[in-house]
Amino acid sequence: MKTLVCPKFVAVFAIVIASGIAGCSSYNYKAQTDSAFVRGTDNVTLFNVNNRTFVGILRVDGLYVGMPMNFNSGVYLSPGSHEISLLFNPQSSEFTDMDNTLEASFAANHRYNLSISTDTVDITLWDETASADKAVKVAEWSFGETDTPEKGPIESVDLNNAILVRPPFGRVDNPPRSGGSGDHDHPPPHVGGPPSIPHNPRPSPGGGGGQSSGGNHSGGGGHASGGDSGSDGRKK
Amino acid sequence: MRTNHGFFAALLFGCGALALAGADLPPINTPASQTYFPGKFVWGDLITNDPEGASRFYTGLFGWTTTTIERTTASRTYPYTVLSLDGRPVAGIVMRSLRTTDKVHGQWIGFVSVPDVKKALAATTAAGGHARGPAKMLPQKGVQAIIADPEGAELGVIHSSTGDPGEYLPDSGDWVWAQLFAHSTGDEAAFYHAVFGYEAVADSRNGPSDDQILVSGGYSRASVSRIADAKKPRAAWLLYVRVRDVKATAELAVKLGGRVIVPPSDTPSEYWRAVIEDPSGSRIGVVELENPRAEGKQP
Repeated sequence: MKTLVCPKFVAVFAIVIASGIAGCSSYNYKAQTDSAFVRGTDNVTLFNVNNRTFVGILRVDGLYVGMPMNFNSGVYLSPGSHEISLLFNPQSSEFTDMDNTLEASFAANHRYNLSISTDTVDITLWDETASADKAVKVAEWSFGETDTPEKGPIESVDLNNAILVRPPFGRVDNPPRSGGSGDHDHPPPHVGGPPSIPHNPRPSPGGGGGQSSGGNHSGGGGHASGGDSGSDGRKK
Repeated sequence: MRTNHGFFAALLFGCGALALAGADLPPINTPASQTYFPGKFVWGDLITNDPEGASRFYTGLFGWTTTTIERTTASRTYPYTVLSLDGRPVAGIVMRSLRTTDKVHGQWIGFVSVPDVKKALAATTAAGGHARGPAKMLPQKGVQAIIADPEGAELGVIHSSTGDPGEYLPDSGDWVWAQLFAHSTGDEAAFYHAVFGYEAVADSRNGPSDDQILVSGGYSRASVSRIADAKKPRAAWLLYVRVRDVKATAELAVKLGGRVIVPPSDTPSEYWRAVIEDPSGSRIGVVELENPRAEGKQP
């Protein structure tokens, strides 16, 4: 990971953070009998004197947890899902404007810690209830990209009231062209609706039957399920 | 428009890492040929934060088998899982860490055969789309890249090193169809004509419709449908796999930890398809081409 250290910048940054925390509501949760616990990265090197990167917990559910320099002390959480905002140090270009919030579920009486990869902005949450040496990976997040019009999240296909189109099958209006042409200028004409998907059977390993690649399939090939009735193939 | 640059950067970086490391990616077509079918969907990559879970789900669902290739770069190890049907590689699984902005944690990307990937990228840009990265040469597999169309739907383009799989009736477990959901079906069809040479044919099977069928080489390859909710910002592709029994597949998907998004129906006109969601949230369609319940008739 590329890092940049500017002592003046870091000092200003620390003052800004400290000032911000002083003026905001703070997270104040004391350990209960069923509390979960989560801490930031190990081997904290404040202000990055060795070009090391570390991650602290800045806010829990939107509330500041305290002085961010105290990265490794961690916080107690009520069991359940919490939104954790992270503070990355050093402040390098990779972190600019990035979303620094993750949401995870924390089990009662479990201890967690966060780690960060050394070359990317990937955060891993570990369950180290048994011991730090036997920590179990709970989840991973990548923070390397920001949510802008050019850098967005994965979204699923929205099928709300979607109409699903059935593949045309079994009716051939035009014979296929030979394979390999790659000619985009003169597509074949189509009359009477779309042609079928390929429907000649794959030749068996022993040979026989089927159609060679790019061959002519006019006449319906080996499929005998009847024509495309044109019946409604839509979701209602 | 919300697009997915980082997502594909991860994918392309992974692919690039594989290329740099000389991974033994399997060829798409065996035995090798120099026969190509431009416009044919020849591959699918699933990008997910849980490759192992995805492997369990899809091997259980479609009978695919897996081979995982571990590639180590200077900084990390990238697993790439090859999914095969009867020994024929048909898809892959790429690891991608979670991001807080992700609505779901996985996505299928279809790859379409093109004669020349660089030309396809240039055509994409000229037609108002975006290239998600440069073309990548993957040993044995071929040259590939990811593009986004003008409405943000992502699709892969590939020129296989070993030719394309033949034009055969898809077996159960093969890719059989793809459907693009978009706001402007006409503009999108024009884009895909410009980049892939598809001819757009009005889908008049059920009367007048905005749906367009994309045709190449004399075969229907995919369809373009209007997004039902105009407020939804993002166009997207949905890939379909052929199955023998949609209902049984949907039930199996649930047992394997997935969800049924569009259920199969007993209504004859509807029982040919379903849409399922794997445990990471990736959606995929399943299609029956023939159904014994149809009493010998195609539904």
